[in-house]
Amino acid sequence: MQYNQFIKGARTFASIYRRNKSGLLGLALLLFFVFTAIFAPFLAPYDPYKRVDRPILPPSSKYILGTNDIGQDIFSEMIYGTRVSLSIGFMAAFFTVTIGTLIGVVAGFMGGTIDEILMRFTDVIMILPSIPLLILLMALFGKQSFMIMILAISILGWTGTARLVRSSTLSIKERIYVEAAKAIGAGDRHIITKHILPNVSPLIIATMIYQVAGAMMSEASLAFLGLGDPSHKSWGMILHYAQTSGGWYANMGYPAWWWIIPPGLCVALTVTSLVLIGQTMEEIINPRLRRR
Amino acid sequence: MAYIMKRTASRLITFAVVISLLFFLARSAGADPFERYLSEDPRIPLEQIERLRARFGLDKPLHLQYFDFLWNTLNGEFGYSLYYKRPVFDVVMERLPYTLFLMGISVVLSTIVSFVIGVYFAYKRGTKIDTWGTNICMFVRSTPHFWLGMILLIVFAYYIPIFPLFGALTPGVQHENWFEFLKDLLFHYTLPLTTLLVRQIGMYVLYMRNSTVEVLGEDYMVTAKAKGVPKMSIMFKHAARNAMLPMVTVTAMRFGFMVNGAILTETVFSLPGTGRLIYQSIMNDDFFLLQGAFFIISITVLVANLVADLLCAWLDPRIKI
Amino acid sequence: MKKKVFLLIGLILVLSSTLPIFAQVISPGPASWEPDLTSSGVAISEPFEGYLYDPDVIHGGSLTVATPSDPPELHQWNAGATASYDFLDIFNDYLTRTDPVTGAVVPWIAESWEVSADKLSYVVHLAEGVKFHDGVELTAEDVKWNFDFIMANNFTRMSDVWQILSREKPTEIIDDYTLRFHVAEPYVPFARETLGSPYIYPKHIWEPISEDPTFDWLTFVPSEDQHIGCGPYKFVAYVPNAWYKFEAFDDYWHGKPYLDEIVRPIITSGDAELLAVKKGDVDIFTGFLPSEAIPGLLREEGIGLYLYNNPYMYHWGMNTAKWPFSVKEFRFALANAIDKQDIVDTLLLGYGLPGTHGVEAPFYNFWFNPNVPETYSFDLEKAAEILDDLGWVDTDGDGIREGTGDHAGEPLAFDIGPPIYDPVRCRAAELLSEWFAQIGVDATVQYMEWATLWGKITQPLDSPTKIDSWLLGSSQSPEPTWMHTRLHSDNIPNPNYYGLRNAEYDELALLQGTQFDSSERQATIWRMQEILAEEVPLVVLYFRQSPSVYRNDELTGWVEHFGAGMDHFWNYINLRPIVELSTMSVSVVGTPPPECEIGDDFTLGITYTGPEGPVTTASVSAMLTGDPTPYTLEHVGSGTYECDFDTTDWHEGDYTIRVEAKAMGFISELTTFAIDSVEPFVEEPVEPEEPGFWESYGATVTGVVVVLAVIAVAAVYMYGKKS
Repeated sequence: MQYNQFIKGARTFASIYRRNKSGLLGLALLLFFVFTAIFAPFLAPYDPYKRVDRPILPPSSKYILGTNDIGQDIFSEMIYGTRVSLSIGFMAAFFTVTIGTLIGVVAGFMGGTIDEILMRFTDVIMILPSIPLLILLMALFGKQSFMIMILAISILGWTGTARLVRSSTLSIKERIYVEAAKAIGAGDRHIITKHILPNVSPLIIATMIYQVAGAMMSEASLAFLGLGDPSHKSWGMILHYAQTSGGWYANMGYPAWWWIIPPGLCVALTVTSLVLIGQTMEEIINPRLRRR
Repeated sequence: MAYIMKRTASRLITFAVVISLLFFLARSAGADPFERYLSEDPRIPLEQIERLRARFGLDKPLHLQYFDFLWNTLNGEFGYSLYYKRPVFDVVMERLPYTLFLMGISVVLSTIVSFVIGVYFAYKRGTKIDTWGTNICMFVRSTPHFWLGMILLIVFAYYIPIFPLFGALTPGVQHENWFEFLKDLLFHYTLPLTTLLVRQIGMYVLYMRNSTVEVLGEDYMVTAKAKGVPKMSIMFKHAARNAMLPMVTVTAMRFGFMVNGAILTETVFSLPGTGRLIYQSIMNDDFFLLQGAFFIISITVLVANLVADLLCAWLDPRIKI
Repeated sequence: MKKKVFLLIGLILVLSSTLPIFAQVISPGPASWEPDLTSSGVAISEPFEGYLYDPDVIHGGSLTVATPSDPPELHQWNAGATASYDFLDIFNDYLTRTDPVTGAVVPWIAESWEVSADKLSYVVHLAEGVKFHDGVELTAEDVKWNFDFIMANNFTRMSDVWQILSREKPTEIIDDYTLRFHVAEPYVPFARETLGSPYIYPKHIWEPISEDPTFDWLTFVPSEDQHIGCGPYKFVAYVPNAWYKFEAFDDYWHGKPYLDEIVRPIITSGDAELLAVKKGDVDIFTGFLPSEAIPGLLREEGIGLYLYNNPYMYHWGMNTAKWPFSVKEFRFALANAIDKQDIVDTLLLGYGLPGTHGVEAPFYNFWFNPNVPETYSFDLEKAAEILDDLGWVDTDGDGIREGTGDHAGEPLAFDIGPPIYDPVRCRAAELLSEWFAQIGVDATVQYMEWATLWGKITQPLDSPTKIDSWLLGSSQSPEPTWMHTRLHSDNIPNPNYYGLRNAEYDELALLQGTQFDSSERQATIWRMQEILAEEVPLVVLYFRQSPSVYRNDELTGWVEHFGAGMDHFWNYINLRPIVELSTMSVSVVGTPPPECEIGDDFTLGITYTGPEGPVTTASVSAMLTGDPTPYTLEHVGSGTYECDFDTTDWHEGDYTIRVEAKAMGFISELTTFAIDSVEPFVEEPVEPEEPGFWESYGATVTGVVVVLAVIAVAAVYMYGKKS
């Protein structure tokens, strides 16, 4: 029954979704980037970690986006960067949402003092500026790596999800069938896994989409401030190297636009596509937003 | 009133917990700043370094340092900055006005502008203007701060040299009166403000539009429409006022994010400010400054948040002050 | 397809007091430093003509130099940050200074000194008529107060004073302009390091301050009227977070500086600072400039570029107490697997010098031993052979060699830690790891935060958290005492992180500190370098040559400091405005051929009528449009001369020739010629495996098209269904 319900839900979802132009546009963009990320080794003309030619070559038919400060092909870097940036985004979002859901469900379901404590804590973390805390967390680990960055972003990013999940849990808790399940003596665990989680899952997926965008943005900002992982070339790292290795004047004293514009643009486009999707999903979950 | 009191109190308690966490985090993350003296001039005897550490209380066990920190913070004493060798409070206060200036202006302007645009889009919902407008907003809010700032800087300060490349004031110029000063300041802040504004407007327009659309669907709106209340009046008097509420809440919640924006913007445009100060204090292993600056900026954010809460309560008839 | 190309040749006659900029770029010869062999252990030079005050120079102009942050400290007793010295250096003065060109000691406020036979006391004579900014004259009292104050407080940064002078009686006044200093033990670099350590502060201002019972030197902040020194400029204003300003001090003892004022705006972003220099808002770029920026800047009007040897040795250090680094042959094998020249060529674009075997920087000519045997060189086969000879071969077939004896079966694997903030060192570590992998050694690059890395480097040798090997940049000073402090076995583990223990080296390190005869001391220092080449506790990878960018269109008299950029004291007192440029004539005999082939020669005759006065030098260079590398042809002197162009090294393309002359107060009109095309003499063989557009991007394009098509079809289908 659960399965059929899910299929039914998904069908309704898809039928509403496909009516939304911007949602489709976002999906198309995201699919494009995901495709690039998955097939990076086939798409990239060169190995982005190998030096292929002289440094700082302008775009040509051989190197679509020229070469970087040590002679690596920027186009290939961009393609592989899609992979790194998206993985950071999705992995961080996954952890973020997991932590957020856990805290949100616990707070919403348990209520009382636990709820109070957790929510106050969430509020404060949410209000505090995250970049200094992120830098501190990264400094605490001492080493810059891909996983640590994901961890740091997740540790600080769960607050929004937790609040949403909590309020949604609260409303679901009051519903008749949950009350009924309680009345027939269903355990907490049963109620959470069978009733609450399935019902908040659309919401979780929607917030997760936003979290991917947020995490990618955080990653780019950290890389800009010089805290990225040099062994994984994300878009943020490409921009960081462009900035520290003379991207502003490498083009005969002028900015090497082919080195600076693409990474920022790709971050912006991916985040836009994610926001578009998130927005559409929100509209579906919250029908009052739908255009009439 | 009780509601506000309760909120404030619980917020302060959790804040104390977070600040304590920050204390231990800062202490365990940073290396000893006095080690740097050793690395630069290895002949300095260890006793000399020990004496310096004792001066700043760094020789005590961590828990004692923590109690000192709590006691001093309660007394409004933030200690001395290890890097600036001046009271932390003075150092932060020298820079806080710049950050408040940047954040304050951008909050006010972006709220007003996005209020109008958001309501307009909601009014035009479903049309081309709305679709394109929201999509553009979505793209703009998705661009990284620093990237946008860098591009604005290079275009409008270098290729088309209208605006200055760096700083908050023209170097070497002593201003005759406050008006000249303000003029100079605004001139230097045009690009940074634009950077922040563009992104924030992009974001808030979406919130405003959505919450207005949501309000328009409420029963009382339908009733008003049926009654024949003029359209503009419906939009701005009825819908927008109710839609303001979530918008203000969102603004309140986003003060912390704005500090992030401030750090990045201040970095790109070489502006003085607290955001940049926090970043530098982490890089300089300046615990006291980090704690102090973080504390002060967080208090500022909390106060702003509280003000927004009050505003919400005032706007929302359901909450009694 | 016929390509269109332009050729640029600039003929630049550089001002008398500066060296040809292009010469610096093309042949970055080490700044020479050959001091006299006097008996004081360090060389002493009279300030040469360039720094002697010239009253005929027209005063005026303003120098704007950025500083990266507010000065955190505002007086010398607690100063530590570079930004603080940026501030203090403008209005304070020293007893002795270091010559910017020769590196020798320059007697400054201390005009001369004599050392006693037991080398334990010095009589120092001060210049007369030195005034502080408030008009009070500087006397021996002021100097004595400063040194006694340091002895009483042991300021962290002034260990060169309080560790050297005698505790009982450090200083003694003989008369108003003469003092006697007593040292605890003979100290060879006394004149430079001890006398030249503190600024001379006015006693009449600082004594009352310091006698206040609440005075605390660490946290004291002087008020604006307490910024009084005896330096060339006096304090005007400081607006925190924005800028500070100084103006010329009329009564400066060495003569009123030529510039009217120095303004230092605070610019935290290096990119903005460089743009400001290019735009003309700022005169000197003080930030860090990547090598990639050099070619573009070279062709910028009004911008001068000086390449200086950075006195930092960037090296790969290892914990020699830990296996396998404890085996000397292993260290040699790895040293043989490092191509220093490749690092310089690719990572620094050639703007650097490969590291030396004897560690000492090659541009400290006097102390650098040119005869250190080249104990290793890049040879992967030899490296592998050494490891084979040790019996360390790959036994389990994983591509990584294993040890023998106590360490049988243990793979040759270790970490290399570069600090994350330096992209060059990060990339260098990656290159090392690549080379080591080729000889079956597994080196993992661990990118680390500076603070963490530093903590791991300075651990005791046997600590489990000590890092195996690391990339560090350590400063070398003109005074070779660093060879003692950094590598004597008493200083394990900090700053002798390497754990070098060599009895002979230790002995020599102590010996050189007592040798007042320069040539004897030189012999000791040279031998120490040979020991380092035999021991290899560290491999110096490269010395950077850092570009210093400055504007030369408004100010002149730039002094090129051997180990620093253009922002230094000698420029503060030597810079002067460029006044009224008169026209001078340049005529060119003959024109270049409209087209030529690579390998062709042609000649242009160039005559210019230079101004009377100092001899003008010039350089001829050629650059290919679209190619950032300049091709310098030759350097020529003033007068009439023939300029031969040899096109052998030229590339295919279009060129423009530009002839321009500049001299003190004079400038010529611009003359340009064009060569429509330069064609290769022999058709270069086309690389057969060159991937064409479709080979390279076919997959990408197809992929994109397929995805877009699928989406489009899906979208159309869905819409169709809806309606």
